[in-house]
Amino acid sequence: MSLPPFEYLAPGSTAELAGLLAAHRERCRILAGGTDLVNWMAEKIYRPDYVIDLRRLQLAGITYEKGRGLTIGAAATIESLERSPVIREFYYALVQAAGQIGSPQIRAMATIGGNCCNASPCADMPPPLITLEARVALTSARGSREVPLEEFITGNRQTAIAPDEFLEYVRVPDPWPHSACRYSPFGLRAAQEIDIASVAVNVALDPATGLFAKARIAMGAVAPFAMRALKAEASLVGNAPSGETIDQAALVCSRECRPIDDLRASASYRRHIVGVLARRMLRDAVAAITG
Amino acid sequence: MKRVIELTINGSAYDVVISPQDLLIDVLRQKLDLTGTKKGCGQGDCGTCTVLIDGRRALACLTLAIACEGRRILTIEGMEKRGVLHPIQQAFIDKGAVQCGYCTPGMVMSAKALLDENPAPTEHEIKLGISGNLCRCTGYVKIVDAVRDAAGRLQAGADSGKGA
Amino acid sequence: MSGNGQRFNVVGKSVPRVEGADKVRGKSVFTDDMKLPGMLYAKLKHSTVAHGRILKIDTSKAAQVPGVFAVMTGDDCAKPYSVNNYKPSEWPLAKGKVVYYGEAVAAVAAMDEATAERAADLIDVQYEELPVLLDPREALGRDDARIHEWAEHNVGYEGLQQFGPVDDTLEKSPHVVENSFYSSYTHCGFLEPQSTLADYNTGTGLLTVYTCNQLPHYLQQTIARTLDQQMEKIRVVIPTVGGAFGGKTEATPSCLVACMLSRATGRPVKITYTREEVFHQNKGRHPAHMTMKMGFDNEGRITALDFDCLLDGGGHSSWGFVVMWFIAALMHLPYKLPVVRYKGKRVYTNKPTPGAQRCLGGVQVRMAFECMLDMGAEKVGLNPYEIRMRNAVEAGYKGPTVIEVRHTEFKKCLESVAARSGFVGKYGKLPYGRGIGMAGGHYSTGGAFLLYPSFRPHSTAQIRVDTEAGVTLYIGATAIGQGAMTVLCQMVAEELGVDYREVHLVCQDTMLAPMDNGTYDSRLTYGSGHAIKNAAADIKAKLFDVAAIMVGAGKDHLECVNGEIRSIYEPNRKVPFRKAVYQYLSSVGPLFGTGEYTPPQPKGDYDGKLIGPSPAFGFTAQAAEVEVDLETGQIKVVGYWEAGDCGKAINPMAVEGQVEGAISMGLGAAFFEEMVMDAKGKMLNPNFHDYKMPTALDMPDLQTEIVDSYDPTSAYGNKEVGEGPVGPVIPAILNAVYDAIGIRFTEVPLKPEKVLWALGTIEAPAERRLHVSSESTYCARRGCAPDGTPL
Repeated sequence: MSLPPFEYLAPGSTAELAGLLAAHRERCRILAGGTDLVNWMAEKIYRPDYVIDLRRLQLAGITYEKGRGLTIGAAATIESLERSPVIREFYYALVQAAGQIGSPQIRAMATIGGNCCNASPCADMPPPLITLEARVALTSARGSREVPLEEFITGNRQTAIAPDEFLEYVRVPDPWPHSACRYSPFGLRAAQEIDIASVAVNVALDPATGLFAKARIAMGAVAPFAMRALKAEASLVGNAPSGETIDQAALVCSRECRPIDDLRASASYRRHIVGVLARRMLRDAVAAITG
Repeated sequence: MKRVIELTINGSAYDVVISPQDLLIDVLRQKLDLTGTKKGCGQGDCGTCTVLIDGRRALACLTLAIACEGRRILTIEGMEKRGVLHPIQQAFIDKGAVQCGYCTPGMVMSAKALLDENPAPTEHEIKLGISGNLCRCTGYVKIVDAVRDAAGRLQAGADSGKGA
Repeated sequence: MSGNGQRFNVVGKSVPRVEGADKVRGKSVFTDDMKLPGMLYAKLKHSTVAHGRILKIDTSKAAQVPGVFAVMTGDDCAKPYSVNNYKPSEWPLAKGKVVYYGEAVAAVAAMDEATAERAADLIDVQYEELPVLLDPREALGRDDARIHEWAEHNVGYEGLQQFGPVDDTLEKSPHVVENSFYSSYTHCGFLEPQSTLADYNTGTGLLTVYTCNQLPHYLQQTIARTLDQQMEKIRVVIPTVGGAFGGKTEATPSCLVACMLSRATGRPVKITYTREEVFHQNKGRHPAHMTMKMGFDNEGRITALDFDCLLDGGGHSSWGFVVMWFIAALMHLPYKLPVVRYKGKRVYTNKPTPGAQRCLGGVQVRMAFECMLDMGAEKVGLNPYEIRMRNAVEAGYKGPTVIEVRHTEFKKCLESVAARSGFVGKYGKLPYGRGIGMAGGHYSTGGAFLLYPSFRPHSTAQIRVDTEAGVTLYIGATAIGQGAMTVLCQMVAEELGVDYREVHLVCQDTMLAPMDNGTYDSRLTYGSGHAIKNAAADIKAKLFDVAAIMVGAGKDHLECVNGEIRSIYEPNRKVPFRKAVYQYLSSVGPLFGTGEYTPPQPKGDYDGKLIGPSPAFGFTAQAAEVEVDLETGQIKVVGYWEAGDCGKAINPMAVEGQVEGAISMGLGAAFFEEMVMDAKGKMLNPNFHDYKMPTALDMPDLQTEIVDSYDPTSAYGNKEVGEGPVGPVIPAILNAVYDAIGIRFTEVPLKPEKVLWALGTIEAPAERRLHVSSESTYCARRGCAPDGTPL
């Protein structure tokens, strides 16, 4: 299927990029990996006048600095996330998420920026990023602002990005002390799957009491966008990381989510799977902390 | 607005007239007669269009040709050297990994990417490495055998200083 | 050495494919790789309703787009067509009405694809929507909404076969089991989208058609008939085919449209389907709603079978007639079946038409039959292995139909699989959640009768020997990826003592190669083998007259081995093959040999008798061990074993590859694959991300075995292997899941959520009728409660 015609631009600096966005606004789409954009253009869902390629910009870096946390350039590929030693060490859930997306080919092309900005309800990166309190930097000619990722994604393929802004990097703060994060997707096949449900957890235990000190849980593919399981989180904090507490929290997760029936799975099954994944990931995370 | 761009494919420079919306898969197959790369779905689901761009895996059906200027593209046609098959290609033949042959170019390219990064993959790593390439003929069994065999040949070649 | 003591030099060896190097280099030419000077690209306009009358098609805007050379609609089509030309209803471009979403209604030929697409978008079509029927059971009751005028109650075909007093016998049987099954709507899934390059030469009037089709001579006939093109002025050439699995046996509408456009423009015209169009064209497996009632005596022998089968036929006829009768025939093996009644019905619905997918009819029958056997085993008190051994056919078996098993090693297959999987030690004894299941299967090796009534040979081979080209084989056989070319060369090489890589092959070209029935029903190797052997015998008869004198031995005592012709008794008396050939050519003349083969054609007097009998049958037995995740319903296959009787394997490596691929197709159908329609008949998953075929990570470890076997009726001892192994996969899984959790599923795909619905962990949606049996002796056998807790 042929793509609709457009002008192709490859700015050499972020200032130039910002200038183009300011000039053309809704008439452009940014090209990072292209794995979503090219398909959408082929299906005539988007017909941009301008496609702006990020390739000449240095936006693919992954750096970690204690105190500052992790900074991931928007154009960092999913593959580079999966292979990053520092992400594996401090933000393991992101490795788990990255390793499951699509296929090896898709992972080599797709980017974290694309995954966040395209905001598919089934996207794999948002749930664990949200549990890790990630923020996105939205840059334009007017300046740059940081927004929590969970406020950035506002709906099914909808974000708070302004027409003249681009997502420059994702920042993830230092991990909480005595914490671990985990992520599990779920699909029919072992590869090339679009999740029917996913759960990310990020929990910290109080080293003195052993109780849950902090907890964030996010669920994917069971709502128009990645959603926090606020009630389930509340049920953990201050309680012991026992089997019963975890089981109860998992049950609350499955009640909190808002799945739909569709071609891939029924709502009741997705709801059930959320509970199973939440339980498994909470157990894994607790085990990782307690060693 | 049509442009002339230069694409570096398999070490050779090609001048080609393209529109910005032209996909690499179509430019390869229709404008450059490099038909070894296949178009099984055009949506990034089957892997038959797998090529390497700057050594990284890419799906030509989801890649704009214009975005490839200044990049080094490797297609199946570039795997052989002066008519001598790459050890991966030879292994595919010897191990019966080729049936209809339609998935084969993409599989070989994925295998190359895998073995370039991981010269001694486990069985699971091989399956993971080709998990983005569908095959309806083989059940993947002999393809996995061929990749394992190729890994061995490449190691042996490297050990003896010959390289591949 | 095998079977009857035959010694072979190259037959039986796992030689690499003759076309392997081209394929790994990306040099093999598939249809869409081809380009001809002046070639135009064509695109199709498709219906956006599943059932409707075409009120108006306005192509005026499309015709005015610069770069457009021709625009066509159904009005340009003279005749509809169908397999066998029986009740033809499919047009190259739909005329009058459309009967499924995605049916082609118009076509544009232009300078390039983008222009053709743009122009096709400008074609305006108006439909009067008609009721959309998506379920054959519903369609039967809607005579007011006939999909085809002549089809009362939307019935395309109906058939009854009866052998013996079924009701009486069942009534008298000490054990009777009954169940109903649903096999799903799957697609062949070949990776190469259908493509045609039609090249009409306005000077000579010759229409050359390059396309990926399994039956070139049949396609030639279809084009001649449908497009009023003289047969002698049609040449069908099949380039390399990227998988077919039965889905490329018929002319696609696009193929005929390409021919029409080429004739109209005088230029070559290429049409290649997008993946979405491939799904809409379908021609995959017929979904079947089946009911079986099976009786057993106290020893576990099958007494009788009553079988009702309702096939979902989609919008057109395709191979429906053959599938309906093939299902009837496939019941009769691999177990003895003395009394049977079969009622088959194929009903039209407004869906992309099913056709002939690998192991056609076999997958549906085996799914039901093998589960019924296990149910019977439970009642009688045998284990699934015992009941199969008790009922398995043996060589010489002749049941109530004309089907005769001249050769089989089926029992060896069962024994091998049972031993290697440890079946008897595991069945009923694994921990709850883990189970093992078994199933058998078979398939015909080419039908005894042709696709259409005719008495011509089914396979013909011509061999030409000279000193310039060496040995050239002309044979109409078509390679579709199964390894045909290599085995043909191996067989010729075996006969004439030349290197198999030096045999030239002229095949799959209707102008250059003699008529062949085509690649379907696993007939190629067996039929071609006989034809090649006969052609080679013809060559040797002529050549040995001359060689005998050169060698100094009787012409009946000569053989061709290793590039030489030598005396069987005194191998040192020999002459190089080439030298003998040269001598022959110089002193006698050109050296050609012709051979043919037609299978024995048994006589019978019941409906559907022409479909089913075969000169030979391949057999297979399989076992699956599964582990069910009781929390998620996911089923993991932790072990899979197969043993096959394909007679002598001409190329064991190729045989293994075929079996492994067949099993992967079966696993896909068991767990993942189905095309899903919305309420208005639009396919929701015409793509490879939501129509899920197994990836490398989804495949379990496969342990296959070629049992020692040799069919003396075959030219080289060989029988079919490409299709039979698909059949047992689904029932092996269903039987294993039953052993694991005591639930007998009778529908596929067996998705994890269905397991949880059946276990009661979650509630199934109200409108969802899940095929699950409740009655069983699982708990009694295992000594546990339904949820696995020990009693």
